[in-house]
Amino acid sequence: MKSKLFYLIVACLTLMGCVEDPEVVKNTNQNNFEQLWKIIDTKYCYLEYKNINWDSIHTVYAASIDSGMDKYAFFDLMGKMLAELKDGHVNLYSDFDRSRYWKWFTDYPSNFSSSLIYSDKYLGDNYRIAGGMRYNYIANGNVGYVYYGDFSNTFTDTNISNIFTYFSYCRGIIIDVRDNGGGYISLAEQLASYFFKNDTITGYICHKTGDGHNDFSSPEAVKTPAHKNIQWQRPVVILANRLSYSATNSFICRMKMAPNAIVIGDKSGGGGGLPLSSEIPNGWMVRFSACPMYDADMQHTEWGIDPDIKIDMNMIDEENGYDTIIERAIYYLMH
Amino acid sequence: MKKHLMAFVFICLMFTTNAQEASKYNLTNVNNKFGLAVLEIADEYLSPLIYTGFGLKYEHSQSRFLLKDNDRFSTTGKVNILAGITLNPENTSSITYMGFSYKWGVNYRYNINDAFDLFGGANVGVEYGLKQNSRNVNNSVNIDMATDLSLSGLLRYKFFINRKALLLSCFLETPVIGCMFVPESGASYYEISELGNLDNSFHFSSLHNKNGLNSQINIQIPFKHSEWIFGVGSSVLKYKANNLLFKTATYYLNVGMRYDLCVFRGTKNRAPEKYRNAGL
Repeated sequence: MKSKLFYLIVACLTLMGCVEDPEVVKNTNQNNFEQLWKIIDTKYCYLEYKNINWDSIHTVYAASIDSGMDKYAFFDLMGKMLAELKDGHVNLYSDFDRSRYWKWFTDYPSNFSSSLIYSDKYLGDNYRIAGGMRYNYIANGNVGYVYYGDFSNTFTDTNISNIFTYFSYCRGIIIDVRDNGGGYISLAEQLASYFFKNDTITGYICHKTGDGHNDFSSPEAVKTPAHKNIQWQRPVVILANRLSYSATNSFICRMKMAPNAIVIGDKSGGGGGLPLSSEIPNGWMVRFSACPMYDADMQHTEWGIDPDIKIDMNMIDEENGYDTIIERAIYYLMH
Repeated sequence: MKKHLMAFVFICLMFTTNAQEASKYNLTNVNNKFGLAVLEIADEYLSPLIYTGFGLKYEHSQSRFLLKDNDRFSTTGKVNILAGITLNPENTSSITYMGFSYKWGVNYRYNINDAFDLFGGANVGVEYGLKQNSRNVNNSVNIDMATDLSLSGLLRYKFFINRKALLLSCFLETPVIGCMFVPESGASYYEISELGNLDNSFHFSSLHNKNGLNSQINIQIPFKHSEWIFGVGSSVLKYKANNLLFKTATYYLNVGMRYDLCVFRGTKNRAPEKYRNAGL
């Protein structure tokens, strides 16, 4: 009996050493580089999809690491390494700077002019504001125009109900999400829900389950619910440009499946990977795409979503005070 | 009708009286302790770095004998609340922690001699903790959620200074088996909470993936109608699942008080015959 008790105690003590202590990594340039590289290597979700050889990037950048580098030079080098991912959702945050990759919109036509949409032809001076929405009649009162520039600016059911009531005599409405760089994905779902008659699967999402580049969970269906009380069942046009990114990309992805909706303008900017955060020993935070989102056909949305009607802003129209994309939307709704 | 009503009232009163009689001498000991804690948090879902800081702790415990005619088995119910704020090593981010646990267990008292008592037992409990990283996006919150069966032991030494009885106690507790919530490392709160995807988030836990040790040394000093409790303690919990490692460690100073509702002392004011005090 005593020997059994002894073995039991020894077994318990052995098992109690099974969970190791968390590793403490010293704050050096070399360690910070290795940690940053490892975070991307194990948690970033598009290495395979974008065909990025992350090991060779390690080789290239490790050779440039110098323990004597000052924080600015080191930050710039790490920012450059992260830019290899060509992802607007990847940033390195320090107290003095934020690295970024912006070529997903700077390499394309802007297709948006703030001064035009606030001109008398469109929103004018006396537009109304409800939550994050700015709205007014256009096209002689036949079309309702809503500009929504930030999915971090919240709105309520009451806001939307009032906007729909205000536009109740219009033939259709335009929801302009150009230059909307994203925000809360839950708001993208909420805004889309007003345009659906039934709950609809509008996409899928996965997440990393292990360190391997292809270790993903099985796709989880993303449903856009139809709002129970407030529904716009007449035509709606969504205006997009390359700066329609992240949560806005998700909104456009959902609206492609809405029964009376059409997307006009440029291809959206993408940002289909839901970002998560981590940090390295010197306290800098890194944000990276971690959960790939797909459309209803299981196609990646990282590089953006094609519009139903592709049209760019025309310089002559712009000089004459016309927003080509809004005009095309008006034409669509009036004919 | 009046007779029926009176009979009903009489029966109710009888039950009430019986209930009071049954629990009359099976006294319940209640301790309330407040503490200042040093807190250490490692949560690889939120960050690979170790966060340290300070917190406030509150512990409420109740103990009494399990049975009327047996002074060996006692029960203990314990509530712990801990709130704290921690910073990463470079002070660029913080994790706020709010934790709650409730445990209920049974102890067996082994009387070594007049001075020493040894209590051994087991308890079942639920734990809930909320950790929030101030600057993370989409993985800004993680939840500690677990149920555990734990083993515990308490050694108590009674000694006298100036004819006053002091109690020195040493308490140890470790979780043995249970169930815990650990999200997958890449899962966002959007997928967990909005889409309800909890795949691979609940895990069986035992010594192979969860190690913990709660320890406390307390001294109880009588003062008029009360006993003051001063102590030090630590609570270290490490667990891993889904390739993620977690550690929550608290080291704290405790001050507590137990107030005597009535005092039995000397020959004139003896304890009643059925006086029974688990004394934990």
